[in-house]
Amino acid sequence: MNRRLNMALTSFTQRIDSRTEDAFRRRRAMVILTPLVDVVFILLVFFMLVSNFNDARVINMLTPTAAKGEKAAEYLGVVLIRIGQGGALNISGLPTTEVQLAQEVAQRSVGDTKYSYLVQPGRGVSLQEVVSLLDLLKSSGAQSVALTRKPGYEN
Amino acid sequence: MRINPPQEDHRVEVTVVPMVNVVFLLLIFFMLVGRIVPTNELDVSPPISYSSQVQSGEPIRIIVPADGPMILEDNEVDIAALDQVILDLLQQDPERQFQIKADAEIEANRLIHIMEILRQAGVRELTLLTEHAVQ
Repeated sequence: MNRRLNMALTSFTQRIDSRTEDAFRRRRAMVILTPLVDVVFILLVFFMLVSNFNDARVINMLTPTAAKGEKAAEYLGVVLIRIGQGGALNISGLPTTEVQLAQEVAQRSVGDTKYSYLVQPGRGVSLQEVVSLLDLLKSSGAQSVALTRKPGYEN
Repeated sequence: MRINPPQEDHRVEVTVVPMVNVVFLLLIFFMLVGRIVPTNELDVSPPISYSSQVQSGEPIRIIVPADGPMILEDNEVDIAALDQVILDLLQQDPERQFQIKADAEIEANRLIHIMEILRQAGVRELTLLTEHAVQ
């Protein structure tokens, strides 16, 4: 009786041993990959959260020459462009449209004739409207563009 | 001739390897394409422009949010005290570059006022941060 029980117990433990060994062998293949995948996932999440895809550019607001007040004599003249609320444009005192303004600036930029442009935004004009106007002037051929406020305008 | 018994181990690996490949590709993509920049607690969206100029050097950044005081190097600065702060910075290095990061919705005259103060203080290089427009 005792002997039979002993034999049954031995065969049972042997079976368990072989099973765990099987499981161990099967798992060994993954054990190498799992921590690596964990680390790679953490790195991936880190870079996804931290990276920034904004395409940042700049506009030069103060060229070195403008800061020193030099070279103004090289330009034939200064053209005042005013922009009011709602994008109302005004060149040298005359109302104009975006298309007309672009044409006029392009005509003035032909050959050696160089004009300096002064942009004066009115009250309530947003920075985006002014930056868009600067883009328009630059793309029409204006080389020197400066911003100015109405005299005495305090913010 | 001996034929090797089919190995069960392979089946386990095969499901993981393509995923690891894809994850690696994604990781490399984000590492190469993304840039790590310090996050800003202020909600400032710069104006959109077609300008293709890229900032050179390491400028001092002045942040002008749509509402609230402007920030210069993590410190709030009042417009009345701005010229003194700029003068102090220029005294350390007269060639210092400055960059304004202003919200697109602020009044343009507010920015011009700040620019006038900087110019009078003797700033030689000043740029306005913009976001590149999709053509």
